[in-house]
Amino acid sequence: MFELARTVITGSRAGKGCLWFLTGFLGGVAVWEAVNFAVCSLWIGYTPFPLRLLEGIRHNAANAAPLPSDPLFFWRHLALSEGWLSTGLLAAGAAAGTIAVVRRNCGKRPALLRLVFLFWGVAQGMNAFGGTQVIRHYFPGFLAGVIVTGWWLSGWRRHKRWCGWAAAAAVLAVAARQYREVGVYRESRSAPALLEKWEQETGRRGEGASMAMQQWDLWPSLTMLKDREELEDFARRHPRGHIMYSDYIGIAHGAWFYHNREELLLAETLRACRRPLFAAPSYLSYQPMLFENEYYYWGLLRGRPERFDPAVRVFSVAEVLRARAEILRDASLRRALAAQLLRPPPLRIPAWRRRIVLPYLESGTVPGRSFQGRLWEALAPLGLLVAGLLRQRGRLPERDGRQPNPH
Amino acid sequence: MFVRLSPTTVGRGVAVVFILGLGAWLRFQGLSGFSQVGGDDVAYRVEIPQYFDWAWDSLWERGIPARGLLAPLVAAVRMSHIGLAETETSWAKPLFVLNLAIAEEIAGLTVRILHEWTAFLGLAVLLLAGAIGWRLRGFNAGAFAAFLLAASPWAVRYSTWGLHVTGGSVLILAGLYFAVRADLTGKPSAWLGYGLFLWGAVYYSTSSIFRFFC
Repeated sequence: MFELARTVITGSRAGKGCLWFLTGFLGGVAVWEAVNFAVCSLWIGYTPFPLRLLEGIRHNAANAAPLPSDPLFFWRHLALSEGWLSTGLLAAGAAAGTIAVVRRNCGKRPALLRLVFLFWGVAQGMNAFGGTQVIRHYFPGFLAGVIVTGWWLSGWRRHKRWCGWAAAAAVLAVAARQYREVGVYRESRSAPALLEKWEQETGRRGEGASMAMQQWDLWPSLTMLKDREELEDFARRHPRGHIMYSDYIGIAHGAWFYHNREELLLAETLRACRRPLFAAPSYLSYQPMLFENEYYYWGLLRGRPERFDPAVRVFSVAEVLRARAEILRDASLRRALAAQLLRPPPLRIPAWRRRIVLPYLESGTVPGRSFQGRLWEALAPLGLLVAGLLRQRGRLPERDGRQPNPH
Repeated sequence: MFVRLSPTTVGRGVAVVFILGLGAWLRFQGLSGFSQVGGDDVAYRVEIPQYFDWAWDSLWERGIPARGLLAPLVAAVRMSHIGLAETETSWAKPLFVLNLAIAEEIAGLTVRILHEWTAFLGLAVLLLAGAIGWRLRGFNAGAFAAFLLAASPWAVRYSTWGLHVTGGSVLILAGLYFAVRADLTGKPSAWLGYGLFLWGAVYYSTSSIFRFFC
């Protein structure tokens, strides 16, 4: 047995290559671990990096709440965010590719098969990280442009140039439509300048605070509050201080994440006292769970408020503390806020097997994918692989060495 | 004296310059004043000096003169354990932290240099993806891949965030280049390079983001 393995491994080009590969990979691991052990073990102790990694992965798997699986999510979201024209283009491309693969007649057009795989990768990327909605804010028509460019470059329609020009016109139409639609979003990018202007006009620079968030350097005049103690301390130091609702930044940035439970409580508190300050609809006065769910799952904003007021809104810190005390006193108010958080979002196209998860993650725990989600992801490329193999079966050389019939 | 270039070479050169210029412009414009600072960056500002102090104190108490290169190594090793207790495996990036520690403690740079550094790494990703595409499917395929990465909004954003995923992508793509080379030539050095670069990628960043974006 050992001799057989040795012959297979060292007697073949691939086996030798694998040995060299393992030498490089495991050699790197060994050198790093040896150096670290030598440097650290004597006085601070050292656990090998792979063991630390395994420990982390095991703990994460035990603690992370799995995301629900939704195989139609990409298409539903694509229709909402990119518009029906983009969705139509992509659906037509995917359908044409699938039909060609199934009919086993794309031997003359192998670029098509590659495009199907490319499309699958793009779809998975969109599903996993929710790039669709964010992309169109910066590059209107980006997705449609990429797909159509690839389609054009693949030479599939080389003998029908008018198809390419028609596709380019469609992309331009999509881009113009998206540019008009996401003007609201572009306006929100000027929020830091608006806040600075407000602070200069009111002479209250340095008296503002907000919660821990991404893109912190966009708001240089604000103090970051990590928890309630810091909020109370800030209120003592700045009696006239103001606080900006960090959901605004989360939404403008396209990310939703509460770093700790205190932040969730602060967000609840701020929602409770939003009414007098937020008469006009804005990104700050949104309905709870209208966006959060999407942000929590995918990091996306689906839909938008009917009317939008891009002005920066701030709270008085004293008011926030008062509201917080009120919430802590009144259990029914707290329950009402929790109910608001748990209310399902009013989606225009209902999600498949919708499940609501509180927008809170244990610090440092990355949400996992559900078993069904992984199954769908695994089956999609497998299906394509099988289809590709079936397609190639007829082109393999015969056993007696004759070439297969090209027709 | 004067090299006569074929029209094809000139065209390709123009394409490469255009794609690199586009990628550089999108990554570097307004980078200093408008850098996207992620949570990691905020944490580094606090934690790297903290852990350096801690590592330095622990060495000093034992009378071990860990100056120069040894200090950042100790800090990097120590920092590679941060966050793993909280089970966020994307925090596991010893080589990236080593980079950071050397930049901050030896070169005397601030954490802000990360943004410029990863923007350069993002450009390296373009070149590597282009080289792989060129090798596999010709110049047009490589140029198309490089263009996608140059203009893709997420690739641009990640390049400017100063995160470890960009370096991980560079190392993975370098590994893939060697994999292609090993497949075509079968040279042991190519297989060895493949293994070494993949090791580097794993120890640079365990994040799964760079499967899609750099």
